[in-house]
Amino acid sequence: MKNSIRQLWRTPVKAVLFFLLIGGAAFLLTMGANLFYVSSKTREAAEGAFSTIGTVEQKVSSTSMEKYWDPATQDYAYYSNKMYDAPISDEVLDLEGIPYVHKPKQRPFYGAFKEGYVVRDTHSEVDESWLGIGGDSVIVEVEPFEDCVPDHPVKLHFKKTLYGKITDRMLNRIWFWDYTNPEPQPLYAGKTYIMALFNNVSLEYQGVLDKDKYPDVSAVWTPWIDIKGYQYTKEGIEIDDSQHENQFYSEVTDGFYETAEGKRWLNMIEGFRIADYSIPVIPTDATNLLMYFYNQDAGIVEGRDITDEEYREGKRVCLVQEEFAASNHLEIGDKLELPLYYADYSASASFSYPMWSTQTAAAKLINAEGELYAPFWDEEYEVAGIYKVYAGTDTYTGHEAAKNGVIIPAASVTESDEDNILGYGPMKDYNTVFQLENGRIDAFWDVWNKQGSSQLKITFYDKGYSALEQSFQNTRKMSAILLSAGIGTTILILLFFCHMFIAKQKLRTAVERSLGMTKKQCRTSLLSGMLVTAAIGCAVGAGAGSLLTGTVARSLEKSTTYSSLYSTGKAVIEEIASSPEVLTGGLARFAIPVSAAAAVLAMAWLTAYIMVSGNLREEPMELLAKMRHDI
Amino acid sequence: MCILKVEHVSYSYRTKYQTIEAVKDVSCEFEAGNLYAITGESGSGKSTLLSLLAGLDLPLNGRILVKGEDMAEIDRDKYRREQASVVYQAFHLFPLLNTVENIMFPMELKGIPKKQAEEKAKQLIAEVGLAEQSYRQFPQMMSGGEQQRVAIARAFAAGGQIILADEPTGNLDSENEENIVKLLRESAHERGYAVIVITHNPEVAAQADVILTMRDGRLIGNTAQEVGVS
Repeated sequence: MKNSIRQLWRTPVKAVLFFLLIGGAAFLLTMGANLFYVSSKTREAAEGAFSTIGTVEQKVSSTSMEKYWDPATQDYAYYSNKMYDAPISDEVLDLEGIPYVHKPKQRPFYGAFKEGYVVRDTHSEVDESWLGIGGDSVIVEVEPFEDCVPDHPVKLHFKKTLYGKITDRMLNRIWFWDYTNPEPQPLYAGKTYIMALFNNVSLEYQGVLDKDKYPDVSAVWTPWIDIKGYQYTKEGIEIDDSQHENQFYSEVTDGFYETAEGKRWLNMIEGFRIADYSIPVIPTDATNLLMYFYNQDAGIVEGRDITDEEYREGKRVCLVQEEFAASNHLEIGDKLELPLYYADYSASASFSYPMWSTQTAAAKLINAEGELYAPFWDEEYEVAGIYKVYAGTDTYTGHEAAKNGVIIPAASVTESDEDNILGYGPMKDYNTVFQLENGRIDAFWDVWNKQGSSQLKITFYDKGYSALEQSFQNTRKMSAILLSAGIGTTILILLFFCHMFIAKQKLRTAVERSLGMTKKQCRTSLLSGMLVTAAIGCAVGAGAGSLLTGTVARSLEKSTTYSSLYSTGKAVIEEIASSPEVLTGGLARFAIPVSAAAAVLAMAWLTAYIMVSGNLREEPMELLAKMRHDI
Repeated sequence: MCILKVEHVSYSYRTKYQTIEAVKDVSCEFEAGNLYAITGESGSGKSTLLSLLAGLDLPLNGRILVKGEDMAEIDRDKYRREQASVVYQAFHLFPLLNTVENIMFPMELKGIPKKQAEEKAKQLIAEVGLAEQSYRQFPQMMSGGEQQRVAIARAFAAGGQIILADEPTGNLDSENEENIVKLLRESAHERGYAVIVITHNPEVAAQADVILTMRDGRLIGNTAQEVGVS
């Protein structure tokens, strides 16, 4: 071996060149492999930190002008109303070739109610009259002092409260004005009427109420809600109950509450009571499909998220909001009963249960027959996690978290809600969300542009993953180039130097054989010097590659620009890319350089071995005979 | 004493276009202490016979006995390492090893310690008539005659009893030729080697104790002669 090394280094220019080039090849291979590893790890981490979701919204097909009676002008006024074609089924989005992670589904929110739910902060000192639907909305029995037509404020005797809180303001009489009705029906003295009223304080300060004409009038009550029931089929068709539309009061006669209309009033009142203490239940296929989680406006503060498997298999687990958990003394692992009374496919839960309000929107829990909705699903759910809403509660887009929202796997509700659909509308960006594989938005558009519906608007959110993807691709390209260059260079270097150090040394082999060297000794003689030199070169090159990887990775990272909108994603990636585990961890620092060096050395050994075998295949007698002829 | 005995040896090899019968039914014997010259024209088979004697290949027919043992039965690498050394017309020294290292090479192969091998190499350098300044010289820095002396010293270093020389003076001028032949004669007569020289030079052949003449692969003459020391 000594002679082998000695002879190699007696041609120092060639030997140094070989040393440097083989070291350079190992350097390129290490850099390439390390960058590939770093980019793979970063991408892997990004896959977890980022997700690509899309929202679907049916486009407005036209606008129509709707009229309403304006008491101020004593004439009809108009407002524009957005019109939609018939609701499009979410199934039109189920196209072959789209790389969905979660397919688009128009999701409702459910209203759950159980006696004992504490739905508001009971420690606050908020006037109870302002809780729930109540406050200035009441259902009362009244009697006119005299025959009258309520086309102006008329004085009614207050008899009984059926829903809502009575305050001192009401005393024993109220002023009533059916002000939005151009032709109000007369009211008769001695008769009792049930009315759903709203204390319309705005009339005074908006100037609708002429104080000169009615100086004694204050706190005018106007019609609040009619007794029409709302019910839709699963296909989104409304079941007709138009006969009760705009019916804000009824005459109460003996046995009235035994009649269908009287029962309808009582059912509606019971429905309001239920709605007052109900909580929204949000069924979904993934927590991340809820925009407030996606945007990190909400986060789990205790327990855990619902797992993919639990979502897939429809396990009865749930995430509950921190305030609701505290008010109801719920802890992780506790059971929460969720009797679901209704499903609303038309709105966001945040519209009915806004985070910023102590009140909930009036949900009339009566169907088209005037019957009170009964729960279509009543099961216990285990509390898996408790989440906190940090931000995004002051908007009104439908993407906000809903107050007291309970999140459950959509697949866990196995009973149909078809008889309890309170609201239905076209797909909206807040109720139809899907998830795509990261970086596959283009693939979606390829299919969608050929087969999709032009009536739907698709919007994607990826927190800047597309920009990051470009950066990953750059890094991967760079690593692929370095790897290819490393492998190509290694092969060329090895072929060149093996030719110089081995193939051209056939005579040396022949002489060594003639001096009595065995084939094995000849192989060692030729290989050892070259391989020792290659090993040192590889070690130096791989070491340098390992040291410089961090610098190169960071410089590639710096060259990537991020949208400030996605600062969270950026933080994640920077953290990952510069984390010691990735750049200076065992794999990047040791395993990959050692593997790269070993790979180069293995290639060197293989190439040299093949060439040495070629040398040894020729018999020394023939070789020496050739040499003799050459001389 | 007969060291090498050749019995009805034949050898042929294939080239791209034909099969060449290089050696045909050759029989002869070689004893220690004699200088043998194998002569003949180019292509007569003398170099092939030398290679067979060196154990670089085996005859296709017949056999070669080394001290009574069939060459086919013995370890031929060991035979070349320990008993037979070859000296070439082109010297075939290792160009990247200096004189001492070239001569040490066969000794290192035999496992002789470095220091001992180096001392022996220097002694042999002196014995073949080279000066001390040649110790660290590389072959390309030396004349042909000097290189051939180093090659002969390397043959001595192996410590065997047979030296096979293939046209050892072919690349030398007449003065060096004379010196090398003298050295080979001394090797035979004073050191007891069986020295077998391939040559087509009659003057070199004339210095041999026995001349073997080959033509078309056959041995056609075997002449023992009395040679005076020049």
